[in-house]
Amino acid sequence: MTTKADICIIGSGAGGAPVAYTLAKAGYKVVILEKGPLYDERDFKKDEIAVSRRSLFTPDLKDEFHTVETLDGKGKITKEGGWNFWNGSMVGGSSNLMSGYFHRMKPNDFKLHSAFGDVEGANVVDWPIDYETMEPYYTKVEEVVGVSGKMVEHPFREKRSTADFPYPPTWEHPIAKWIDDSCSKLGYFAMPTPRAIIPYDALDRRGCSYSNLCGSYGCATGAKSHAKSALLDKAVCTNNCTIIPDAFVYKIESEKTEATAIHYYDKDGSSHTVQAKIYVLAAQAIESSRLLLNSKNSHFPNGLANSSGEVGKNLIFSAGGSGSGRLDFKNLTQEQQDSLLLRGAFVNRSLQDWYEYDEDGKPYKGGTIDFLFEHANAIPRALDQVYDINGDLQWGKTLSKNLHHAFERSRVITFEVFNDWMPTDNCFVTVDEEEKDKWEIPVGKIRLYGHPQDLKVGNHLAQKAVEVLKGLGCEDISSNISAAPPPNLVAGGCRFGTDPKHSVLDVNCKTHDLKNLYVTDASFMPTGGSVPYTWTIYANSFRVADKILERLENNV
Amino acid sequence: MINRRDFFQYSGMVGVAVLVGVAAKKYAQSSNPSTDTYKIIEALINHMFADSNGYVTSKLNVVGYFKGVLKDTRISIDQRHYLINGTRWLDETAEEEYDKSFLKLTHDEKERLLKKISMLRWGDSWLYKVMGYYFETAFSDPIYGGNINGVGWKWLAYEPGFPRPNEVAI
Repeated sequence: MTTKADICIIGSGAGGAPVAYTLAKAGYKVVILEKGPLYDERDFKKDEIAVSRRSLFTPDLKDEFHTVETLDGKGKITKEGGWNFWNGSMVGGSSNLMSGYFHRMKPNDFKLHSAFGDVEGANVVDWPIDYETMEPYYTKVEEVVGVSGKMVEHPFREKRSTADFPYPPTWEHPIAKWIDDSCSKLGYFAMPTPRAIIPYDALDRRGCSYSNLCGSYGCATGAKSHAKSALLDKAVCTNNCTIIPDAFVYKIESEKTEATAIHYYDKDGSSHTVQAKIYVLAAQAIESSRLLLNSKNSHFPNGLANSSGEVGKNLIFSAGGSGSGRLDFKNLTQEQQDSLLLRGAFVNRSLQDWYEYDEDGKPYKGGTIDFLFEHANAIPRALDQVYDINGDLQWGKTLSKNLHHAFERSRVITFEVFNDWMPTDNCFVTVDEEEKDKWEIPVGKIRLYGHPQDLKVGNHLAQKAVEVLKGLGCEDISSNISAAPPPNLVAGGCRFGTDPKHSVLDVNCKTHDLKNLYVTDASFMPTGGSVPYTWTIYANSFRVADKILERLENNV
Repeated sequence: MINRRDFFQYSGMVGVAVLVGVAAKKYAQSSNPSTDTYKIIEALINHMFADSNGYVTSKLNVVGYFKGVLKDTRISIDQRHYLINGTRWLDETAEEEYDKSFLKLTHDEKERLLKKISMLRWGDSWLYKVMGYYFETAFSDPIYGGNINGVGWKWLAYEPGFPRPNEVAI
């Protein structure tokens, strides 16, 4: 069966939804093909077993997987299986499961090479657009998708076209004030963390219910500004947008200069075709590159839209890591203990004091620190107690005592560090011709490598966060900055740029090679900034949507 | 400081915390649970969590929950076989050390045996896995068969999130 549409979008997350929303509202017929199932808010329960322990929202690894190559200490490539690089596989994509820590990229993030120069062993380039170009779209996301927060002065506050966020901060935990005080004593500028969560009923959605289980879980109220509640539900209401869930796209067909059809399997394994004027690929960075490479044909023997050979190259993640400290009730007044036990409210504090810094006379691009409570899931909190300081398993009275202390007599405050993952020749996606998924399609093969500067910067930031935890009176403080890639913070693989020889996409995220194929997930990013990506993905997708709309309106 | 669990998870994987590991297959293999599988699990949990204010197997329905785990297709077949085989390896080690089944060991003998196997690669990894499923039993929503009437939540004054599941989703 062949479906016809004006626009066909592959993927329904933060990269695809703004295009669907914009074009459906403008009257164009949009078809979205989403690999995962369709859930609504009634399906999103706080079910730790299903969501966190059995990965309900990601594919079963025996059916769908990636192969991974790493470099061992001798530079030898080793191939591994069993890594889970899937995120939210459902309508709305991984935005359903985000924590919604939303920061804009800064002006120098758009010109990292010009501002900081070459980094040995890294492929750092400037973006072909600047912050001023993106700024209206960051604002649009605040207003249309919904971002809450409060602007305060800090050393790296970016320029804005509006004075403040359209929604005030979500309910803040008393510890936010403790963090403010700790930072103030250290001379740091703590700022309320902007959140992609609306605090009260607005935008035809319900406000936050402060369930205490937000990140990794779907939102039962629609307060979280994920792609479905914020955009897709409204796009569908225009009667111009059709979402086809459980649709795995396995090939994009093309002639020499234009894409001509998309083929997908439904959940029963039957193949279907969609034909459209314009195709938009937004399947998540790794999967978008995989699909292009698997769609090779006589015109593009090395992969669709890959005349540059750049498809899959310069894959990046968010570098950094995390750390934690424990606030022990024995050191606190009863009032402080009662405050700490309050559940549901958000910590909502960030530091960007070292977004850029100098060390040994050399300027470095730094990053962002976010503070939060230890995730409320009970099982990992309990498992954290089973090893003693020597790494030996413990049980019986010792474990019982430690469990009570962990759950009832202390609370863990954590931090996350976000800094640039240097794009390099050693971090990329290809396809593995020897390994196939349940549809007999070659799986994505990921080469992982973290540049030494990523760790250097991450550790610089972690030390600052540790100082804040010390100021709070935390014990058992630790930090873990590593080259481990966070699978939920992945970008690159289809760089945008002005030179068709060195980039896959043009400045408007249209492939250089095909006149009607766009890529609007995080693949376009040549560098990632030192913030979580989702806000920028949303903003860029709105920007590209305007370009597509302009083109359709002018019949170009 | 990297502990032994971290070492197992991180070794050769550049620090990525994704573990799909099966311990070295030193002992007899079996893919099907037997009556003894559950008796050994029950005895092991009763020993390891005897000091947990009485929140041991009967109050939580540990055996019932573990039966569900061994049928759960979202858990890889290797992991389920590993859980089963570990009970056999534990029992075989008990026979080697004390010439009797783990089920017949005294409290002190169990303690010494568990200390010993916890220092072995397979033992550490397997006990950690068992403890993980025990905590699942204690803290999962009662619809999954464990944590009867929320006694596990009461044990550590844990408040579950809302809305709670009203049906098994997996």
